Amino acid sequence: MLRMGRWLLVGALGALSGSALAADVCTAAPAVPLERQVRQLYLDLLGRPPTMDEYRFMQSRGAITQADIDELMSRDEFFGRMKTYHRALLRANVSASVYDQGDTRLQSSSDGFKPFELRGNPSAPLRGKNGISCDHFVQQSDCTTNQQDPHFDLSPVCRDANGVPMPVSVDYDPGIYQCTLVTTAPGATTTPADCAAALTAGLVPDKYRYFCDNRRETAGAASGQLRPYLCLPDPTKPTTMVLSQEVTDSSGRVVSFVNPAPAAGAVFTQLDRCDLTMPLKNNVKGSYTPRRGCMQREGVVAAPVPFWDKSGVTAITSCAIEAQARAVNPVTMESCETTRFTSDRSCGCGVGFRRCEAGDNSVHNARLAAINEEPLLITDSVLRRNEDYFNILTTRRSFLNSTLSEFYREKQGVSVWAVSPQSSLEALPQIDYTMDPTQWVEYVRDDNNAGVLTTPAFLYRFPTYRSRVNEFYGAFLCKHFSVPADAVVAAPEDGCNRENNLAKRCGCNYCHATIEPTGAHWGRYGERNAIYLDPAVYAKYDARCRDCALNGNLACDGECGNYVMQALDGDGANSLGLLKSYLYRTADEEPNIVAGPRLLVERMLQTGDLERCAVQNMWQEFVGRPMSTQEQQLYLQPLTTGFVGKGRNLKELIKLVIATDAYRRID
Amino acid sequence: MNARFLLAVAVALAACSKAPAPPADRPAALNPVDLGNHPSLTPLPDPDLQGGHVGRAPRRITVAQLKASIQVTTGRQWSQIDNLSGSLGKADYALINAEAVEPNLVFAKFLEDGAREVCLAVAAADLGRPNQADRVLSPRVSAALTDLTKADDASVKDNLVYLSTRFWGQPLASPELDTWLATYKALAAQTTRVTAPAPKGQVWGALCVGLMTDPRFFTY
Repeated sequence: MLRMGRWLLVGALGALSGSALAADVCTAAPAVPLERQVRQLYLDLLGRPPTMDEYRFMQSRGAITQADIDELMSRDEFFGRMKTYHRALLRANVSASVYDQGDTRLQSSSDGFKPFELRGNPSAPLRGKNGISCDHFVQQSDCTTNQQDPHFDLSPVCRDANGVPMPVSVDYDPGIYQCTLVTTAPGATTTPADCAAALTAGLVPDKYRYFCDNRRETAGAASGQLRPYLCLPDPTKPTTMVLSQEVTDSSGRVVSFVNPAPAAGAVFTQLDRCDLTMPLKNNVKGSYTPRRGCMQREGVVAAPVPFWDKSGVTAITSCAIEAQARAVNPVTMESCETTRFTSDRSCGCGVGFRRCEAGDNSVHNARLAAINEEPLLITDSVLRRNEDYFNILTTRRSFLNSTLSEFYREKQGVSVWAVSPQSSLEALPQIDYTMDPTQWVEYVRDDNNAGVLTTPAFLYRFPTYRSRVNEFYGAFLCKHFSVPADAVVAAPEDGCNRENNLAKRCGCNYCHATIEPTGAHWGRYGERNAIYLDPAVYAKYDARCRDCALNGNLACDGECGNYVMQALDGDGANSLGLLKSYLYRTADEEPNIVAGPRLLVERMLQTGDLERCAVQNMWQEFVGRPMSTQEQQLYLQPLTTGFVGKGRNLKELIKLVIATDAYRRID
Repeated sequence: MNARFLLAVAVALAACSKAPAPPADRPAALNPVDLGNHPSLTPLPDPDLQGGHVGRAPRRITVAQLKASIQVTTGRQWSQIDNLSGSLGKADYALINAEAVEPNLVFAKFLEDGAREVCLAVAAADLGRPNQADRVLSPRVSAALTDLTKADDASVKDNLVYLSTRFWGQPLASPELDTWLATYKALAAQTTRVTAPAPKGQVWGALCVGLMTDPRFFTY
């Protein structure tokens, strides 16, 4: 039986205490003096040492009473300490689980009209080369009157028939062409005003008229100025040096460079002059691709401020492509609400630039912080309300701040995050992005949710069904998967070695016979994302996916990623078109998928494993070492019984643990 | 009372692996003790069955506790603690899943750096506080004292006990207290050989560094 009552100076217990006497006899674990006990309690419960006033108060009392402990456990510092504990238990940090490649971060610029723009990888499919942006010096609507290369004899079209911005200026790609500055004389440092002047002065042969490129200098004394360059296929590169044959138009001006004898598999067979038109991608109308060897830039436009801008300005300047807000490609009707928006010229960043992020990473960091914090707020709410501790695994209650509210409601960050809201959009609290993100609003999630186990933090941090099971077993059942010492290794020729179902494959089945059906509790959640596969949208069986699979169309227009599309064995063949989580599941195990993680928690509550593990976790946390085998025999059941008897209240369990002799002695 | 005492002795013997060998002419057995029926007795595990552990394992404080401890004990914060938190053992739970609480050399080196920064700043700030009670490191020593070697032993000892309680939760007592007093005197004597005003403040600053780098500060 455990002694619970007052905390007394152990030395004062005197000879009446059998345990104290035992310690005196063995001198294995000296009793802790009062000041040290106070410091220990404050560090353990509040995460800080006592102040001198607090030391004096306890010294004047001569003992720590249960009321003192209750008072400590009512402070915000205690709840902060418990959040720290749960952050460690849940490993609540998805910063390394989400890959933010930076492709959607809107960068600011400092020249011309100073537009906001996307640089980096998205520029290649939009403008012809990674890292380049729009033309900062030309407004999209001025494309006809403000031409960078008027000698190209072009008739620019500012937008296509659907309003999609077209290039307003073009430069030859220095990665493919060798561009030489045109000077007034060989070896001179002065240059003609532009290509027109260079052509007039005969500094550039007229046949290369279309390869004289007015390029804007980006460095040096002439930074920001246009200067004429003659750009010809780079003779030093094997891929372009073979383009030796010039193709001319009726005026005798070169319009293409051709490889006269292309070898099989040659990279370049022809390079055409650059202009302001854009070829169709795969000959699909409405789908554009930049001309090879050309950097085709659109202009700038005025746009509403991005959603994260709190400066008070009413409009900004943006590259014309990024400023668009279409939901779909107007011709192909392909969605812009997926990662592909970065490579579709007609999409843009959406209303208020919701698909893009701030260039300083503040938006991404705010989302990370909010998603990491959500499960901790769930645990905090359970503790503060003195609820059954395991409500942290079953409650539908959760919290939302301004960052997450806009994130879910505005479908932001689609190219970085794959997260579905945990309730219908109508049920989500509406909190404006300008509100303080440290203010959280409680709300009730849909009934498929189960405490922390269905939060994006958990789903992203543990991205596969197996890792989710592993975390649940380790953190909440104190069990770890390992092959038993007496495991039998099957002979190599045994057919069980080739079993695709790991729950059956010999050797693997020691763990996976448990892992696979348990992982099915997360079967309605995607892997490597935090998307709930709503049965109304993702039926258990999709005949279209099965037909695609049978026809060898494994991509199936990208709509069957969650379904079994390949058969590796007989079970797989029978499962084509089924949700992946149903593969290899028996009829007994399929209810796990339907009921979700809450059913798993309820089952484990029936076994008592959850309570016993909570006791062991608290012992580890406060005593600083795992329970020994003998301590488990002596204390585990009484502590568990006490914990259950107190309504599984974690604060009560902590009181039980810190009242044990083990906590009050130091090795 | 007698029965209770005997029961306690029996438990103590049961818990102690080094109990004296029974007389050769009697079987080595103890009377069975019904622990479950005793109202106020906690059974103790046998230390030998669990690697000598029966109590709480002493451990190094975490980085968060260190940060709070520095703030609470000195009223200041170590400017580099967040930058060095990874090296000090803080887990991010993304790539490092467990807080390292080993008092290793890296921790000791950085903590000494931090102690120097914080303690000398606190000591310097104390010099500007004319009110003795407002001083962080020397509230029990007269603020009017210009020659630190003239401080009386009782007030210095009182201040050292105050600081050790504040920093460690363990009031210094003799003979260790005398050692710290000797250290104070040696430091104070140094100030008489230097004319700059800084060393006077650094006496208590140096003692603060000693307190903060002592294992009693960073373990519990």
